[in-house]
Amino acid sequence: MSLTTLLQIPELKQRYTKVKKYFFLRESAYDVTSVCQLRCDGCYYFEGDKYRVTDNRDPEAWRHLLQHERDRGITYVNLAGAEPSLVPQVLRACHETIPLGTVFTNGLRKIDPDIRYRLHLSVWGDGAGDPVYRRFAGGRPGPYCLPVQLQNYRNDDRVIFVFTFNGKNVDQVDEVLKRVEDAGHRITFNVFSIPERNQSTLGVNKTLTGICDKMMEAMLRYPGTVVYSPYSAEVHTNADSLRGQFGCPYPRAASVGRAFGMSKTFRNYRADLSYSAESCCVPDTDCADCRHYASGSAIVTSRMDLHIKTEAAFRGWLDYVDTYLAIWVLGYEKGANLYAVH
Amino acid sequence: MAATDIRSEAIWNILWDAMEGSSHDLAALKASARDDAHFIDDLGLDSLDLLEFYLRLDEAFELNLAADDYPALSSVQAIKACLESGVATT
Repeated sequence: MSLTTLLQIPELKQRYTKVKKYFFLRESAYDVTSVCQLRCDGCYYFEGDKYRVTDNRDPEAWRHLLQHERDRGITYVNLAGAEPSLVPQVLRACHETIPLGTVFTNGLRKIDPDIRYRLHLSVWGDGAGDPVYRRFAGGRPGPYCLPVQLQNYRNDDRVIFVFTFNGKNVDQVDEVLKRVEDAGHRITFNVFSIPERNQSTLGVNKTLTGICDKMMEAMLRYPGTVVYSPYSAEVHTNADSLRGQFGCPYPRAASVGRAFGMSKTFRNYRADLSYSAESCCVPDTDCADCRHYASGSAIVTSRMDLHIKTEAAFRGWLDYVDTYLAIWVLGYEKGANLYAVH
Repeated sequence: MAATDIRSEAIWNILWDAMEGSSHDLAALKASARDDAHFIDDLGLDSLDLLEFYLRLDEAFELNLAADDYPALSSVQAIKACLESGVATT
């Protein structure tokens, strides 16, 4: 098959035309603070030394940085760890400068409604699991975050919940799905990806098949609530990591001389506004275990060339990109999945 | 028109086909089209638009390109040089 042959199929052409309008998204990532109320088991942010910085909380410094980023061609910002909701003035300065982006938050503190970024609210388990996997910074068991998140973000169209499957919480998603659907929200999936040098027992290597089955079941049972695709489930629960399946375009792993695509433009800034040249969106994650939804959004999407050999593969890629855009772009609506499970 | 000009025009036409439906202003891009214009630094093309272009180019000229070839194919001039050498860059 070839791309032009595949685009002669009307439903594939239609979907490709839909997603192509968003090829202009060019992202970088920004740790806007090194502070968080929680310490989650296996959190990559608190691995390595990137959290050992002095936060720059001056909104004007952030505005200046993002103006520079905009001039550099960045059109989309990922505002992340530790906990961005703790620095509302920084978020506002970022939003006023580059208005497209996502904030990754634990949802315990509400982000001002006029900051119209996509909000990814992390969920680690049900009422039994969440307090175990996520502790307060002092070490006490953490709160069950979901009820607080639902209270803070009732009827908030910026929100999508992100349930991270780990090696111990597969069935806990049932309670979460029910509560998210009852609240009229949407949810997508992440797969726990172990940081380098970390001793977490939440690894997924022995539960990948069960996670994939649960994802498929969730898509069938909650079609209006779950934003995901069968192809996404397949590639994120493959025995091979995302990098193993597709290579990786981030500067940390770039194999093409940093001259093309994300390898050329992506940066991950720390809370003191410095950045590492060896960055990716999930730094300190073990690349051999990386199944993270954020990295997949770049890794799989950037490899259209690997998905044009068969019609099924191209259908899977289109579903993946359509899903990625629905998760990351506020107001983008996902279409029906085109890829049939084999 | 010289043979090389015909080849240049063919490459540009493949690029314009690839850019159909993108967020770029096609008329403005065409106005700044020069064979030595860098696709990213001068024309501001995005990597997925470029990827579609390389896939179409590969198909049209039967080049059998690999992803590692793309960075070197950074302008129409570079692509013409590649075609004239008779092989892809790797």
